[in-house]
Amino acid sequence: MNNLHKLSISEASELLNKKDLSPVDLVNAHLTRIKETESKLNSFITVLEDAAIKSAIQAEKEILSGKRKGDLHGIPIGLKDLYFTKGVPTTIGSEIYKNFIPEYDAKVTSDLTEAGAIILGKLQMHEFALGTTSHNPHYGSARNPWNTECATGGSSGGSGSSVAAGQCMGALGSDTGGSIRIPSALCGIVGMKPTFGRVSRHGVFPLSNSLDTVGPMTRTVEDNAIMLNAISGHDGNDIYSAKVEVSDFKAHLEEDIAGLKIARPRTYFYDVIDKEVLELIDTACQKFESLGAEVETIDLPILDHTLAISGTILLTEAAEIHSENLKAKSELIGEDVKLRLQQGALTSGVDYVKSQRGRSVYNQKMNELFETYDIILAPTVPSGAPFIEADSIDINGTQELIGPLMARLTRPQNITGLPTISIPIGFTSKQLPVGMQLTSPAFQEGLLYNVAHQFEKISTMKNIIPTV
Amino acid sequence: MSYDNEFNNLLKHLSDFSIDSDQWEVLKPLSEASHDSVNMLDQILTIETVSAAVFSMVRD
Repeated sequence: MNNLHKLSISEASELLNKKDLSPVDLVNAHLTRIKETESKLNSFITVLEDAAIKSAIQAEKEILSGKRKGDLHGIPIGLKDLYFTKGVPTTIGSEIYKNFIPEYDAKVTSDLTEAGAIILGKLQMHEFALGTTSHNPHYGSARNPWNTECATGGSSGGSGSSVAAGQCMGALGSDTGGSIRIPSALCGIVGMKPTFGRVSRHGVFPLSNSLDTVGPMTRTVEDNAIMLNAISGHDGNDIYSAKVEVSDFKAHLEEDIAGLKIARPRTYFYDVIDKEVLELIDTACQKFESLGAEVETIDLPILDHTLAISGTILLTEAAEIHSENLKAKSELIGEDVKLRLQQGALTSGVDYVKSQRGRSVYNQKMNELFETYDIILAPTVPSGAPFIEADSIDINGTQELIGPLMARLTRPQNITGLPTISIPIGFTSKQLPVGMQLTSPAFQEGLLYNVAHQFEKISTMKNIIPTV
Repeated sequence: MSYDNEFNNLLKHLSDFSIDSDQWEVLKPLSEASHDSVNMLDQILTIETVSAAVFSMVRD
């Protein structure tokens, strides 16, 4: 069978279940795709070819003997290189940890392998996950498969690039200020930042303890639900892990969304935005209305405090995590990341606490929206992917710095901890993908998958793969 | 004595975190801008403070 790398997880899973497809063939097809495209994309830090083939042979034996474990059995995936993998280097995208070999698997690593998923390798990322471009001074820049001169976004840039290009069928990213959703939007795939506490972070190298979340990146909404099914649930090894029931996230995909009430805040989200992105969001709103949903534009002044709250908390907590690296090994840290860590180290305790107090008010205002609306809709990133070499990008005649611009619209949902999915909605005139993010009340990821799936069914952006 | 925990010895703090004079030139305006934006939160925290004061009056 040709073009196995173009199958979605759900399509491949069905074929594997019917024994019409061998996991060995599926894994080999993706390893071939990696060999054909990796020199152009730089998505991986470590490829685990031998281990992947060995796991695929094992999966084939299990499936043929009637011991299929479920939707992910035999499915090749990738992990951002901050997930602990026992015996496998885990660099956090850094020089400092280039020889770090964990002695145990992250909870989500073991969740996925126990579900039968096959790990193809560890994926490129912004150093320490502290940046939005995935330009990495130690391992090179991840490149966008829709235009390899363009950035993937970050920090989970290798995850975005590899999934979009068909190097793997799904990947895990992490999201502290937008690091799943930004590369998902810029690479044309689906990215889920689950509710804070939904997925265990045990064995995931931290960036910010009160903001970090873990989630899947895939080419379809259904695939994303399949991966989140495998990794959700309470874990006593993560003190922030929530004790909430986990339902089947695939269960409600086909439900009608007529009557759904969608809020579209105009405050903040449209202050700086490319007009092509704005047009695509307008069109997406019309599509929702064609499905019977009501889209209402609203004002929410609290959003104007987003950058103060998010920036202060994120950088201060990151500086605490990396304080010893900053004191003793700062010469090994990339200049952009070092500057952010130093800025965090200079934040006063008073400013940090004030930001956390502000966060409480912010969260209260955001949650009040759900007394009237079911979903909040916004663009994911204000532009298409910028060029790798550029420091700034033209937005309607004004040059905007790329670093802060990329995460501008994704930070609110990390402050609130609310679940948010980014889905592709179209292309710019330069054929670069654009994403839209949908947010629901806490622990309602099933609703997000339902709404996103219904949108996906009437869009042309499902499981799209560039030639590279 | 300051009730704030602002740095008593800024130079030592900068040295601890490997910040040289060139970096401080870049960081100083960034830190000041960040501090100013955090102070803008007083606009929303005032509501909280007023609420607290009202509850206090009711209790009295």
